[in-house]
Order: sequence, then structure tokens, then C-alpha cells
Amino acid sequence: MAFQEPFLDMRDVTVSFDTKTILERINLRLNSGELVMIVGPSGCGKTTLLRAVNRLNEEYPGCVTQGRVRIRIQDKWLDCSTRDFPLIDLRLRVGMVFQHPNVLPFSIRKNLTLPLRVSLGLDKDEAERRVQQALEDVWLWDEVKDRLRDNALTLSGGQQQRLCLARVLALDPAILLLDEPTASLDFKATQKIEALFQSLKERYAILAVTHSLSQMRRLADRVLVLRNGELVAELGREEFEDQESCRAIMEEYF
Amino acid sequence: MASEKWIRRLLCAAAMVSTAAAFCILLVLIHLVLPLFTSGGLGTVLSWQWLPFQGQFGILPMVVGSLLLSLGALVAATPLAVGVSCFVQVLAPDKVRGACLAVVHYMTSIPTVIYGFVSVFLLVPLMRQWFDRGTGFSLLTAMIALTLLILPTIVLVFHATLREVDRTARATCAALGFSRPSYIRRVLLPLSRRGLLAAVILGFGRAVGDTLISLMLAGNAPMIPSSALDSIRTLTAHIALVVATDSQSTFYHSVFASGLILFLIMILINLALRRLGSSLAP
Repeated sequence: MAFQEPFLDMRDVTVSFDTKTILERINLRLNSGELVMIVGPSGCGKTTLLRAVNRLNEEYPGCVTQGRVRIRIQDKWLDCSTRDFPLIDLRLRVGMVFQHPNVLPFSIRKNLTLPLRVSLGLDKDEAERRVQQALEDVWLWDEVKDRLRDNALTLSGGQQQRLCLARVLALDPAILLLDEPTASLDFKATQKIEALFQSLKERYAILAVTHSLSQMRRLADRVLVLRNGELVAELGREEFEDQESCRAIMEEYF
Repeated sequence: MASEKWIRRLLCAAAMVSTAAAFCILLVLIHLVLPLFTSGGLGTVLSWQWLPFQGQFGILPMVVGSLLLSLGALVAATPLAVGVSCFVQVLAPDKVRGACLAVVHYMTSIPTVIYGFVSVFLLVPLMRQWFDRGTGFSLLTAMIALTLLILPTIVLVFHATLREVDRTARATCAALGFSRPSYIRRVLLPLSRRGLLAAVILGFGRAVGDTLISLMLAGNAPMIPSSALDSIRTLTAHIALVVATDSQSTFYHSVFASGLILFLIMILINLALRRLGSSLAP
């Protein structure tokens, strides 16, 4: 099965800000074509864990990360935690969608083309081609194809979040990090995004954070429970599929 | 609520008082300048010769001097300020950032006269030595000192905008694989244009209104400079010089006219930059 070969491998990852330890010796493997969800109480370090993968924590002052993060690209393991590892390459391979839609206050088109042109150095035609493909992938093309020049902030919350996802997909990453991507959306928009993740699962390895146990049960292949910065449990589908037993397990950990 | 009502009234009163004050200044200036229009002295004031003992009170060279000096300083200070602000906000390590901002804050609190006399003893001899021409009191000398004077003002105002934009856009762009320089060039600066404009307006206000730098360093010759090493006289320095030496004669009319022109220059530049600003709006 394609699941067996891990895409992402985190070993003994510890993250601290100033002197406060946020994550403690995290070990985690993510297989290709797998959607792994991280759950846990607020403030337990879920977002920090995602940001440890693409080293985004280092953009914030006072962060110290220890341990090793490796990703496998075309049958080669790359150690991303070394000091001289090119951060740009890492972030192009590991795409991230934030908790709140974080479109840039440019046009819809520019939100998509800017990273393609700046980070990937693509020419205009290739960038345009990818824009359409990515918007089709997130079922946004028909909704925005006539208003690509409009400011992205004029889109609804759900559309903005799908635009953010399209922006990441256009860069053609191998791994997706999703930080509660439906947290700020209504029921309808959430449904749409969840269906989208179901279809993306086939093509990407996905590591997602969620606060919703029902969403977890609908989407996850595997669940990791994080508490006070430590991974305290790993659950397979059979353990959280049943609503009652899932609730009982979560009561225990939260 | 009663207290809210009072707060609103107080704020409204504050806004009215400051607007009224600015308007009154304009009225007084017009009132003072009015005799020039009625007596026909306008032609002698709006001319290119300042030879007071021959009855020629032209202040146009001072207008040119003021514009050259303040725009020159602005052209030099703006890119410097953009560089300093971007460096401090995005590129500098934490400790360097703190130190840089402390220096900039400190620079704003140094009295202008200190910039002036330090320049007289340091910059003027150097200019004399380097260019081997004139006395060293020149447009260029004053421009360098004035650049230093307005730099921290522009940096502080612009940096405040930059910090806000950076807070919202940094992580997003980093996660999309932007290098820091391309982030600054393609995202941070385009999104901070209006903040830069506000900073530039403020910087220009300080530059055109500054008196001591030009008085102490520009040489005060009322003429159109043919090079940056020539001496100039600004409107502000002109007002200071005339007021300090004479308070009775017809020279005084030129002072009032200078004041009015300064006022009008500021209004025009403000309006022009604001128009530019609304065309930049996203």
C-alpha cells in the first residue's frame, strides 16, 4: 500500500519560545496519501507543531527548535532542520493554510500569481495556467473567473479560504499543513472545504489541526492527541469511528 | 450615556479649535499682506531681486531656495528612511532592531540648533575641503543637515505603518516561500504606500518649515543658485533675518508675503500628495 512509506518524519522535536517550552520531544510520521489530524485542548501547541514542519516558528522572535524534521522527495530524504537548509525550498514543498483566511489585499489573480512568479520564478503564461488549474481544484473557478481583478477581500470568508488553499496548491507542494482551516467558516462553507480535503487526500500527505471532533471523525485516517506540548495518544480509524467510544476517549484526554 | 456625550463634545471642540486656529493664521496673513495688493507693492515683492536699499524687495529667490532645499532633503531622506524602516522591521536581528529604533527616537528629540552648530563646525569645513569652492555654507551643506533632521520623522511614521502591515503579511508570505528581500519589494512596500505618503508629507512639512538649518548653513545669499555649492536663502531664514534686524521699514511687507507663500506651499503640497494618495488606494 502507498501508505507505508512516510513522507514526513519528525524526531524528538522540541520547540521553545524564550524559555517557555511549547512542544516537548514530538515524534511523528506522515505517510503519503494520508490525512492525519491533531486534536487537543486550546494552547496545547497544535499550531506550533504545524509550524515546526515548515519552520515558520522561526519567523517569530525568541524561538528555539531542537530535533530533526525530514521530508522525502522523489525517494530522497532531506533533513530540513539543518541550519543551512533552504527555507524557501522547504516552504514550497510544505504548503500551509492558516486558521483565518489570510489573503493579501491584492486582486484575486495577484494573490495566486505573486507567489508563483516570486517564489517559483514562473513566466506569465505558466503562472496563468496554474492559476486556472488551482482555482478549478478548489471549485472556485466558476465563481471568480469573471472577477479575477477584484480585490480578494471582496470574497466571502469561505471563498477566501478556498483561495488561500488554491494559492498553496498552485505551488505544487508535497505536503499540506492545515491549521483549523474551517474555524472561521459557516456550515455551508465548511462542508465544501471538507469535501475538498477528501478529494485532496489522494494527492497529498495532509497534516491538519482541528477543534471539531465530528470533522475529525469524517476526515481523519489517523488522529494524534496533543496535550501540554506532548503527544499523548495515537488513534487509528477503528478507535474513533464509533461516536460513543470516540467521545469517551476524548473525555479522557481533554 | 452622559459621559460619552461629553467625550464627543470635547473631541469635537478640539478638532474645531485646531481647524479654526489654522484658518485664523491664514486670515491674519492675508490681512497683513493685503496692503501689498492695494499699494501696488506686489510687483516689487514678487520679483527676483532683493536689494532693499534700492527699494527692491523680491522674495522669489527665497521661494526657489526653500523649494530646492526642502525637496532636495526630501528626495535624499525618503529612500534612506524606507531602507532604515525595512531593515529595522524585517531584516535586523532583535538586538540591532532595538538599538536602531532607540537611536532614531533619540534623533527626533535632538534640538535643531544642535544639528546646526555641529554642522557649522564639522560639515562646513569638510565641504570647503572636499569641493574646494566657496565658503562651505551652501545649499548642499544645508541639504545634508536637513536630510538628517527629517530622516527620523519619516522613519518613525513610516515604520508604524510597516509594522502593522508586516504583522499581518509576514507569516503568510514566508509560508508561501518568499525570501525576505522579495517579500519587502513585492508585498510589504506596495501595501505600505499610503503610510509612506503620510510620512513624506510630514517630513516635507518639517523640511520647508525649518529655519535654523538653512539660517546657519545655507549662507543666506538671496539669489538663484547655479549649483548645489552656491549659497541660498530660504523663506524661513529670510523671515528670521528681517525680523531680527528691522521691525519698522517696508522690508516687513516681504516678511508677510513670505509667510503667506510658505503657508500656501504647504497647502499645495499637501493637496497634491493627498490626491496622489487617493490614486494609490487599493
